[in-house]
Amino acid sequence: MIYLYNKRSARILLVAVQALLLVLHATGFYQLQLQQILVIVVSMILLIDPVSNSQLLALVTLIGVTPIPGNLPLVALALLLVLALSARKNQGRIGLYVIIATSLTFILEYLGYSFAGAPLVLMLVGALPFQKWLPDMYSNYKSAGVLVAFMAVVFLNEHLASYAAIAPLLLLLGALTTIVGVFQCMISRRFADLFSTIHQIVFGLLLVSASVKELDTLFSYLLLPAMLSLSVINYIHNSLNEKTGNGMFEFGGLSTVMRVEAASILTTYLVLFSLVSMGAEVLVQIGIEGSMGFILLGCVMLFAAAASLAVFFRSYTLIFEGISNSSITSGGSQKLAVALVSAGNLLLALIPTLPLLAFSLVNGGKPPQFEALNNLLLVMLVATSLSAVIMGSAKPGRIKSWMTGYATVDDLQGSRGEIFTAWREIFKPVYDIRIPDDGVSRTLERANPLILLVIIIMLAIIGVMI
Amino acid sequence: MNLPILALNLALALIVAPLLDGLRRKITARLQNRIGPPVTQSWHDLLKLFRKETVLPERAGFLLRVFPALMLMLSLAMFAMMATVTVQSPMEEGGILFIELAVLSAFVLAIAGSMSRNPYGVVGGSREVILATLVEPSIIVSLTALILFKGSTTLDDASRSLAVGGSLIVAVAAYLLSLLAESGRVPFDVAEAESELTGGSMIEFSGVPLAMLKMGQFVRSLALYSIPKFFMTAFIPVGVKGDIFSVTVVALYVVSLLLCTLLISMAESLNARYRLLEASRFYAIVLAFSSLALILAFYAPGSR
Repeated sequence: MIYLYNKRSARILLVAVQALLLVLHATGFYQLQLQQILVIVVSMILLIDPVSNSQLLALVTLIGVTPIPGNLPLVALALLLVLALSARKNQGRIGLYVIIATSLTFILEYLGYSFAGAPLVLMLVGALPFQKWLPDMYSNYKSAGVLVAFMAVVFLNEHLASYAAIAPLLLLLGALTTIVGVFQCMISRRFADLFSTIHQIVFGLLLVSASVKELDTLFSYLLLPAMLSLSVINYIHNSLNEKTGNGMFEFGGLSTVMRVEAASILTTYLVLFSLVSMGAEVLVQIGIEGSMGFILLGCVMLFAAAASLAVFFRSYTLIFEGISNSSITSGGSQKLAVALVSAGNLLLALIPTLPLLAFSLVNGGKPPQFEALNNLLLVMLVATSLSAVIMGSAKPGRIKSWMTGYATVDDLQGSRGEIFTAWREIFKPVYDIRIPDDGVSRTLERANPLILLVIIIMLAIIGVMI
Repeated sequence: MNLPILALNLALALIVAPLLDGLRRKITARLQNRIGPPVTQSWHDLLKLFRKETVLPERAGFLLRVFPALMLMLSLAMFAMMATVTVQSPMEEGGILFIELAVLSAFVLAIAGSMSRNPYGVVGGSREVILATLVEPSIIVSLTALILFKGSTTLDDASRSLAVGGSLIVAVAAYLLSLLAESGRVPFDVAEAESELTGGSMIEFSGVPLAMLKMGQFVRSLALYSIPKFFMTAFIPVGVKGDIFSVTVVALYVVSLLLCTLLISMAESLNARYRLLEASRFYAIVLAFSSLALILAFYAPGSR
């Protein structure tokens, strides 16, 4: 039906069918594998976007739920193709890159190469010839772009053996992406930047965990839901921001009404914090067993965990105080609408915090077993709660309206510029990181990707013949 | 989790931490040919602050009140989980948690200043975040080297006999250098106007919150000063699993605290201040040295 009548009613019908499939699985009437569930959930999310191709999504759903043995890689790659075709309209070369990566993966798998997943890895880390992939994705962020990466990472996680030779590259670039994301968060001055960099952190974690078998549980039950939730929240926030256009969804805009929305952002930070710290613990533990690389990776993640919490507090102050002195007035109905949307966002943000519950429901009541208990999160929650209770009960003697400062932060920035400029100056190497190097990218950008694709395929075939 | 040892550690932290700060002040004063305050001066300061009225800025958020208590609790949690005067640690597998809390408490202190909405608080907080970002990686790496030597993530002294060699000495040196940088004092403290910027992050705290913040700093320093004891027990085996108390452990612990205090005081007294960019280069060297210690620890015979 949807293939013939691509209308809103048909899209709603498709969403209803997909929801029904999930309900049937949850109640035990029809068994779906985890990847099949993910395919359905991703399709549902993409259907929110009016520009996505609903006919192809319907076909993907049909293939996804068909009980053919071994069809899951096919479904994942088919979905990638769909996403590529959708993304091609909006994001130029990105769609082309995805098509190249998926077709190369197909061909190399068919030819029996042991590194069939390598093109996808190269695309995800933005290596040659996909050098424009990462900058495009982060600067012109669209939910479809990140979902392409999401599906590619899921595919790679399923085919660990197909790129074992270049797994260290993936680990290194995953850690690098995470750290750069944390540093970018420290200087983000708009909500759009903040979301984009949060995605970058999660994406880095996905890259790390996709290639470490011991982090499989973290990957499947925490990172993937976090990624999906973030994509939807970002989509809703950006759409509203574009429609209102008066900055009410920016830092400091409509502070009182934005509290629920702010809570959703802060919740995603807590999710991130718990993810990074849990991943760090696991990595150090694996490293002690005998891998120097994992120890170093664990150290990087330990730092990222603490720094991401610092970012969390910075964002807290920005949300309630704002950077600009915006004084936006709005009607009661507008405030109510914002509050309702924000409450929806908060619920979405909470989903990854309840992975055991959510996934034990869809997995027939079998919660996944985590290898590491997140002691840090536990200590933080207890300490923060106790502190809030203690300081909440101890009322201050006096509250004064004056402050000891005599200048605004902007004035101080002018007179004591060192403190502010030093941040960028000291951490210049981090902010200068480009994956890959810009100079190399510019040189090779002149080559036509399609010609590169043909050359690689020819070489692959020659390799098999030899 | 061993609750009696945990309670003992908490009591020890609250009593000893201000005294250790007082001792540092005394040693620093004597090195500068001053009489200096009595060793108990930090205690008196804290008691005075606890009795004073708390005044808060009108527009400050709720977190401004929560952060001092949070800082104190994180520091106490850090100290409580390791074996200090006991052989056994109250908590199994606490090493990684210790590292995470050490880094986190540094950031909590840094961000606390930004919560006041006071411009100086924001500037002071920004500066503290820079320092934390520079220093904490060294602490993480050098503490991970210790975990490698111990072969376990439990911070106790019931360890197997460790290989004592050059790599362990490099690890000790790396940790002490990181500790110097972590202490936030001259020459590593990079403030150019002490009263405005170093105190900037605390400018709007008074009374009980300020006392908690200061107490948190003291306990955090005490916890970090306690770590060299675990390196020492690599040279002098002190106990086996199942032991609770050992005179040697207590003696080593006291020596460790005194040595660290003396080291910090000497560095503070005998050096001039670095500027921010000079200090950042030094921190990079410390991080490189700590990384070397980590690599040596990984490949050292008998480690892990």
